[in-house]
Amino acid sequence: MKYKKYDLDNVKVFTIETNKCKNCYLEINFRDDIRNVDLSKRYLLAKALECSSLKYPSKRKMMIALEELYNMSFSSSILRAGYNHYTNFAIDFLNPKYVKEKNYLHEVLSFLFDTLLYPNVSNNTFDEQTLQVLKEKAHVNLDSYKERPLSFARIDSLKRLFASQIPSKRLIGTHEEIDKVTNKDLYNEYQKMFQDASCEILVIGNMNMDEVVAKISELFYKTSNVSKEILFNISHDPFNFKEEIVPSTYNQTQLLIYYDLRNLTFFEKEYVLPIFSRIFGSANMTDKLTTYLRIQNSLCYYCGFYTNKSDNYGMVYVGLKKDQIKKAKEMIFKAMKEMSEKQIDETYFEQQKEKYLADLKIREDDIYNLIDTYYSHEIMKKASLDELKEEIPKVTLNDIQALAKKMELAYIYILEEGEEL
Amino acid sequence: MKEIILKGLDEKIYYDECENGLKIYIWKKENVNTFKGTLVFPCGAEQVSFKVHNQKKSVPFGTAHYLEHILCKNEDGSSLLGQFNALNSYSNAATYPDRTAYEFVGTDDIYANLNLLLDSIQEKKFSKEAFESERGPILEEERMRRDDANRLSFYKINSCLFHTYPNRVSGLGTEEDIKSITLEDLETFYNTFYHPKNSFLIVTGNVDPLKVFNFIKEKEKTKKFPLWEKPTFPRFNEPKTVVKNYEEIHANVEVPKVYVSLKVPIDALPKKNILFLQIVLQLVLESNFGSTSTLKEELLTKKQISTLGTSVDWERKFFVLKVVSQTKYPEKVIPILQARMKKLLVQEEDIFRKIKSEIANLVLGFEDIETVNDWLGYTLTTYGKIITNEKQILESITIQDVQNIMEKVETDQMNTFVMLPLKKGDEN
Repeated sequence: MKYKKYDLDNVKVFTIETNKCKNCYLEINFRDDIRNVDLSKRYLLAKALECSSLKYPSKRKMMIALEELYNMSFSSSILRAGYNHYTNFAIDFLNPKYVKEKNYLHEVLSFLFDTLLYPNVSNNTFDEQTLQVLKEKAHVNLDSYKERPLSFARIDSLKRLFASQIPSKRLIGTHEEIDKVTNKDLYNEYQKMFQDASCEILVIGNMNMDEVVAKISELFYKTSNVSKEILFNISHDPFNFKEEIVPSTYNQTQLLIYYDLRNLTFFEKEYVLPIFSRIFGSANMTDKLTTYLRIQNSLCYYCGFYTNKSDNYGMVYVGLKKDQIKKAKEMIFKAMKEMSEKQIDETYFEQQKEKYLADLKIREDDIYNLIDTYYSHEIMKKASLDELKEEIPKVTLNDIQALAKKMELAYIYILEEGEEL
Repeated sequence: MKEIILKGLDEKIYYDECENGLKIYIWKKENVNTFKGTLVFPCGAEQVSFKVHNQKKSVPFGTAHYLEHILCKNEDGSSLLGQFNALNSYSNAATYPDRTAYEFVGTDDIYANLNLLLDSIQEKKFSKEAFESERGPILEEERMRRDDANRLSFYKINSCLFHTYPNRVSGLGTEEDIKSITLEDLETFYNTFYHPKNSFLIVTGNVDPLKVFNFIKEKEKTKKFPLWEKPTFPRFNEPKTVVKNYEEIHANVEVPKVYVSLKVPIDALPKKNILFLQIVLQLVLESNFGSTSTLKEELLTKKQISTLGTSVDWERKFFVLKVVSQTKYPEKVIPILQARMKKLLVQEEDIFRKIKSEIANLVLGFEDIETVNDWLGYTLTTYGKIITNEKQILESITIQDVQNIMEKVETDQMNTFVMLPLKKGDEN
């Protein structure tokens, strides 16, 4: 595998040349400070760019063009890490060496960059009809989480825990904000994105990357030079512990227990927390939560521990019957107490570190994971694969204990099932 | 060791068989660290009535799934998945309508993983305590699924389409089914279906096929299994008619979902192989309702729908052609979808462009060890063999074939199923 970095005019390019795959993947990120982004406008802009361009003025025409390019996929997404807001456009295409058309690489790159540089705009406005269709879809998407009880519980609890702070915000905005966006706003947002955002391109595949990057610089340009240092760690108010019960019409109750991770060091977040998580709640049926909740007490089918290092919280989740909540809470607190008292089998602890290192080998087989880890290391300064391999073995049981002691109980949220008929 | 060549894809599957009848399939991929092994039994949630040794037997719905849980549990109640974890591997199991699969994914020692998988699944000792303690988690899984409207729709639609097929009930069974399952039911199912002659092992990854074959064959020689008799199943005398033309329920959805399904008898179609027919029907359906169709574009532009998707399922003697749409205006959209379903258009240019993109998908499909492993399990169960000429099938399709098939598609048996949001005060 060959890792390379290129500094083009106002755009950074990160590439990995690898023979692990027959497909190639390229993504372009426009990175802004979320505090300066109008969420609904940006979301609708990304979707507008995804569904039409000057050359292909409708979604249908775009889809036909994509099928002709051997079913290349083209998508947009909006992501957040800390205060970093990403407007992301990605293409996934067949390695040019498998197709007979000699200009295939040129065609796929032109598709992406023409779409971004030459949008379906006239008189400095996006097409009104397209915007109306996108708004309709955005309204539906905004509420779709309510169809899944765990998603509902997670989103609703974050709103309650973080009030109006960044982690509580939906990246799509609100119904009211969506309604207010005009087609002129979209064009202004488009210009703002090209003007204000840092721009990074990532490429992975079995291609000569010097040639690919030469092609990129021929087809894409960005006039403003922006290189932003935006924090990847949210600073938020201390949590005041509370417990809330929210009624619902779902069949199953969701119990969520939040822990505060604000006081962790870099070493703890990058290297200790992944091992802690495995032992506590995500080790494929051997962790403490599964042992106490599912195996020993038959309380649930699923449970686990999720962490968000940028937003500084850890969250236990369980789907269960409401009359089992008391027992489940007892078991969760028992598991956490054992973590803070170092009641962890030493052999099992060493196994989990080894398992983590084995998982890194699985990650190395996944091109999306490889390029993502490379990017996160370069931009977010997260641990690289090599650093993880070097540092994980150094984690001790004392580190796990120290981390557990720092984790403060922040919030208990119960989404209670409806009464049975 | 034999080689099964996948024509036009530059790929091959290695094949061998143990003395006890266990079939082994291997796909080798270099340049990767990961391997995946799956032991598949072609028996699943739909096998609830069968005849073996001249005796009719039946088990409650959900038995195959309950057994899958129990086979992933040791006698002492600990998890088999934990033992794979100790080998630095992941493992899982899944019950499908027609098969049950036990799998591991790892990087470190394929032979230790194979040992654990084969020994645990082939030589099960059942314990009453482990059996009973798993009922709670399975009941919770069933409650979780009840909140999943998409899953619910699948069974509800099947019960509107089919009078006799067992695909009308969730693979987990109902709450009552789960409560009624006994350890004896599990043993009956296990003894009837879990035999090397009725299973196949699929290994994908950077492995040495010959070494893996030899290891498994030697290992299997040391085991003793009773003689196995292939069970037989009741014949379903399924009428061509649908059970109901229209059904409406309130479920856990935010925006109404509309499903229009056509029940198409296969025996009325031209005599072509089943995959050929399935591909052609999918191409036509996509061309009429998919992302490049003018109908979808029109409905989106008028803001009458927010999504529109298609599927073609093979259900014994029928194909089910289905379109699903999220729409706030079911009363406007339903007649439009029904009308098009009754008169599907054959659009030559569209179909051949889609064939080209399907070929690209096929080439890219042989990339990921998990995808190939899953595909082998699916194709071996569904078609009873590895399809070696899918690319040739795609390349051989002519517009005349498509027209001949579509002329014979009977469009009179249709069901429309609507899921509406819960009214205030409704319970699920």
